[in-house]
Amino acid sequence: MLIDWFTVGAQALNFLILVWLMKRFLYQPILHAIDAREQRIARELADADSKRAEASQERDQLQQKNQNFEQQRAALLNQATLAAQAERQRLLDEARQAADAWSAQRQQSLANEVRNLHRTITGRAQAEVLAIARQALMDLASTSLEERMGEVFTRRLRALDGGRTGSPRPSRLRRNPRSCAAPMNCRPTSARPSSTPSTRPSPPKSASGSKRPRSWSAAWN
Amino acid sequence: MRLSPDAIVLWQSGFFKLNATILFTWALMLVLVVGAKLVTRKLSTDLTRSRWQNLLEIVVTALEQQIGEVGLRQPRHYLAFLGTLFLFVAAASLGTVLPGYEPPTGSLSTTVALALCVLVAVPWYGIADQGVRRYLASYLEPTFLMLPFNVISEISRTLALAVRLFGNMMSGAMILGILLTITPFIFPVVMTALGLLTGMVQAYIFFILATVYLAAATRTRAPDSAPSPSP
Repeated sequence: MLIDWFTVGAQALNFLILVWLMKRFLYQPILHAIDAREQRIARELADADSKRAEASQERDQLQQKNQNFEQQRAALLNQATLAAQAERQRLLDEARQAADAWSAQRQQSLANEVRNLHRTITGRAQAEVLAIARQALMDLASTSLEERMGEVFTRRLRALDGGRTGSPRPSRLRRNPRSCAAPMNCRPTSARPSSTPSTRPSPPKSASGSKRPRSWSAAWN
Repeated sequence: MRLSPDAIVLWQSGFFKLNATILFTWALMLVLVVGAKLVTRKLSTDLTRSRWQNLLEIVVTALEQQIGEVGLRQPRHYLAFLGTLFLFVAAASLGTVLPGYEPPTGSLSTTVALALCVLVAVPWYGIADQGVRRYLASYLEPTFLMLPFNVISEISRTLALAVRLFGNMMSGAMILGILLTITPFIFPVVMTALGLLTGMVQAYIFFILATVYLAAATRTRAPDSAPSPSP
């Protein structure tokens, strides 16, 4: 007989005991370990996903901040450019005004110089003319001329005295007294040398006794 | 000629006896339980783990996946019973590499005991899954006339389970013994390797058939027993 029923029973019992032991010592611990590992991996993956999402969000925020910063920078740069242009324009205007002022001042000083120069030249020319006239008069002087001149001079002095006392001044002198700066020109048209003086009258002397004709012009003026 | 390790009786007292089948079964149980205990004593839940833990995890997850592929809805619920069937038969076959070892599955008593366990487990899990009435009603499908044939089917497949495993394991050991007397050197080594392969295949067959029987008792019969609309 190949079947021993006691052995069959014993083996069945052994097998059931083995089932319990293996469940106790093999399947449950192994399955628990696998489950724990899978949960851990799932948790780590979830953490990684959350971190990835967080990183993505932070990256978006940084990009947004970057864009805002760029915009602000561009606005500030534009504003600074405009301010610099305005400042440049203002400085240019100031410089132009200063240059105009300097130019006007310079022109004024040049005009003053010209005026002074004219005055100087006029004075010199008057002096030269007077000297030439004096020289010419000295060279051309004769008795009749000197007499005639003395006569005219005397008459005009009288006329001057008459003007002070109420008598009218000769109209020609009244109209243009400067035209008589030269003694030759101050001769009235009607006055002509009547005769050639034989003797040369002495010119009227000034208070200082000088023979310079400067006092004449001073008196005529 | 000794066909079964049952014949090696080490101790006997009346009905009780201690033969080589029981002894080698205890040895196998000891190796399996102590080995599992040693490996699972320091289990790591980190990504790095020991090689033995890796091996056991591969075995357990492969068994669980295989049970699920056959069609059982909750593989972990049946893993202890079906996985232990596979591991016990496979370990009994792998032990043949040791000299002086006689596989317990080479005893018809052991295979009958395992087949009887499957025979009891099928209605056990079937009733736990569907209830007593629906499970018993499944024997009347498609008509009550099929009741004897269904019962004969249950018994015959249990007998087939026992005899198939016993025949393969016993024949392997028998062929090895005969070859040892004829060509004692090289050829028995090759036959031992073939016997290892045969033993692993038998373990898988026993495991997968028991799984299919359980799946047939729990899931696949459920739609058939569902009330159908009357014509």
